[in-house]
Amino acid sequence: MMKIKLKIKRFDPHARGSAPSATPSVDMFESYEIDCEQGMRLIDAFEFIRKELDGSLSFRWNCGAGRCGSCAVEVNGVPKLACKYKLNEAEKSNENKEITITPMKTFPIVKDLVVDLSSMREGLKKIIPFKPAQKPFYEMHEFDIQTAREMKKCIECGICLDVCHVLREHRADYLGPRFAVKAASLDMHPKDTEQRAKIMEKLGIGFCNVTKCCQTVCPENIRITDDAIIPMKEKITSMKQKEYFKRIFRFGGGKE
Amino acid sequence: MNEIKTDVLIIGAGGAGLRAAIEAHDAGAEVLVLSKSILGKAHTVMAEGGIAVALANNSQDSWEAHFKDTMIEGQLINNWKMVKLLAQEVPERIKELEEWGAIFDRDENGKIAQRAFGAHTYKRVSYVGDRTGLEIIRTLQDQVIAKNINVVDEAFVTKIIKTNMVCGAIAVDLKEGVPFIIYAKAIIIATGGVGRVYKTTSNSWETCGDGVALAFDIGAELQDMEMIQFHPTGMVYPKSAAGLLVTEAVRGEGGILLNAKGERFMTKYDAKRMELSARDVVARAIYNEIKNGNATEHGAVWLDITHKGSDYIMEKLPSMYQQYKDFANVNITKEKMEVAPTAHYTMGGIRTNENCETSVAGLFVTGEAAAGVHGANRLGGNSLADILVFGKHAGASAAAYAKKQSHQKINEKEIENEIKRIENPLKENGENTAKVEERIQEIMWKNVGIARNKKDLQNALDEISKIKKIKLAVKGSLTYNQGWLEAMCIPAMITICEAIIKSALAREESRGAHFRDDFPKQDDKNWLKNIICKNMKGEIKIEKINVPSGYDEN
Repeated sequence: MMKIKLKIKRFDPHARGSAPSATPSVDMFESYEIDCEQGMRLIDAFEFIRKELDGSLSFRWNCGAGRCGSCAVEVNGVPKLACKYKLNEAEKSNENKEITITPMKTFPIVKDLVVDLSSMREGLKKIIPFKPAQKPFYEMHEFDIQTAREMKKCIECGICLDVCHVLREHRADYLGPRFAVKAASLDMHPKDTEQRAKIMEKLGIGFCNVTKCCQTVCPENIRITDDAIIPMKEKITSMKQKEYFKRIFRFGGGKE
Repeated sequence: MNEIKTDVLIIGAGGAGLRAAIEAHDAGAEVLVLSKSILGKAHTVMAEGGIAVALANNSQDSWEAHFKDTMIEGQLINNWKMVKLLAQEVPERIKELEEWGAIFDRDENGKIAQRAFGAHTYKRVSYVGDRTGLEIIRTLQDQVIAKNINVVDEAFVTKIIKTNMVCGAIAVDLKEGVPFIIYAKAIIIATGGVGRVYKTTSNSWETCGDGVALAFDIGAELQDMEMIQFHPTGMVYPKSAAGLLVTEAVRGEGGILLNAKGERFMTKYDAKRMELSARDVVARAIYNEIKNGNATEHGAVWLDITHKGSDYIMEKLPSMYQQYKDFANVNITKEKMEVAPTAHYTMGGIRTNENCETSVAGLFVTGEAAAGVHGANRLGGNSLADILVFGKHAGASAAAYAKKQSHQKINEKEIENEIKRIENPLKENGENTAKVEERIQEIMWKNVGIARNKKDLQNALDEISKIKKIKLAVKGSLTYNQGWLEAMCIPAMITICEAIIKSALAREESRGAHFRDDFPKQDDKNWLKNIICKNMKGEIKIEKINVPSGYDEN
């Protein structure tokens, strides 16, 4: 059986609760060597470490089946769902049989590999909710709902936000790709009557320079840049053009 | 210590909890939702196949037919009043979900599509590919966010406090690692099932029955705890994927079951309905094939859908394709899947009625944590129906109750004792929590699984009572400590296991999901009964009561 070494970043903000005297702000790496069983995933390795080697290791997971999006961490600097990342992949790609695991960089750390994802919920509050003109039952056709459905596959794992270099390096006033996906899922709903271009512009979608990093790593293979961000940027442009021409020609009198 | 005051406290943020939150909020109550994991990650996301709803878009379906199918599948020990509400109201709930932005898959006429599911008379199950649960929870979550309903996620409730009515609860904020107190006029338990007491389960680590045990601890009655549904098809290989669900939709879309010899064995067990027979029948059939030596290399049978062709499979079962590709390196459009039964759903739970009330004043229950709707066996697609219909009722009932109540005081001493109990595992010397949990799961899987008998059940009871005495120890602090959560959940799991085993011992017949090889026949003369677990000073006392009367007239 192949052995593999996991170098995991450890962080304990200040051991609270029952042990006030524990070392404050420990921030370091710890290595664990484990036997890599057939089909073993990173999440299995974490569970193995917690159960057999070190009960103090914290990580977040839930469904273990790639559906809830709780377990994203960075593997050698690239965000992955731990429940989908197979350790033999690491073996193949790595001479030293060692991989480095760190928490997602764009989020504040809670403990070890657990990050604070509350900004994801806060962000959603800023997107205008679905607003239909009529009541269901709707007649809708497969063709019309395809894009909305693609956007609705999002499992809110945070990986697109983590990999976005606008957020990662510049921390500009940009809310991030996840929220473009959300806005698109609503805008593309055939029965929706709202326009989200204005708010998306405010939320900094202009900062995105379409490098498609988010789209490349999305575990649900959502075409974030192509189907969410670019169409939204186009809408913003045409909205601005309309405003511009309105200003020049003063069509239709003062209502806007 | 931090204190929060609210009218209605909802423990659990799956579909049932969130639907309850929306309803209670709309009724004017102040609502707080506590969730063990992050909002939107609850086990509802795992519901794949769809939601049963008599829309009659492509059939002669009616709520009466849905009602009848559900009662028959529950082997008539369901609470028929709840089932009636379920069948009648779920079309409204679907409509409401679409009004909130959900998009169900469409048929060629642009109406909501409906697919066949095991033991449903008509094509009744509406779906969103094989990610129906995700669509539902996301839609409810959007509403919760839009309505600005209070949610504290990653908080774990350790105790409900009550005098002669509920007064509140004590919880630990997992991110901060600190306990806090909630004063609430009404409490809704929406914590889901107990599947995690079994070794092989489709349930995530969360679903260990802690909410059901919280309610039992303060005197709520449990019902039908022996009724655990084993889903016929879970993954078996590799080990890391064992238990993961393979949705019934695979069989709904035409998948067939073969044993290692290549025989389509369902002909022997239910020649009429074949692979789409009731879940308990299919699960037992697979169990038998495996036991009789017709198993594959990894102790399973084959599920084959390759004959449907790649395009069809990719359109109808994309997540299943992905799941097998990711976890087993199997291409289901070309290769057969290996499957075996996995513990899946808890039909039993906290005893309740059509208003979601329990035997404790101010305590309500909804979703999988509740008993009554599904009787001895649950129809596929009925759990998503259940969480929406009874989520709404629980929210309405709790808000109405809270309106008439005022906040109660919580005894200081009680808080102090609970904090001590919370911190105890961090200070003690004792056994590794993960190991103890594994032992419990092993005992239950071996002795209280698909086929049961008195000897095995008695054995399991003895083994569990030994585990009761074990002291647990955990390293670290309260901050995001999985071991500590286990230490808190193990006593709850023990309560649940005892309730399951004692109920299973009491029911000396086979009915639905409960199969006793020492009493293999269904006995309608003596056993149209519900088994109730009562809390007598910490001990479980079993009572048998007749099922609710009046079904025959309906």
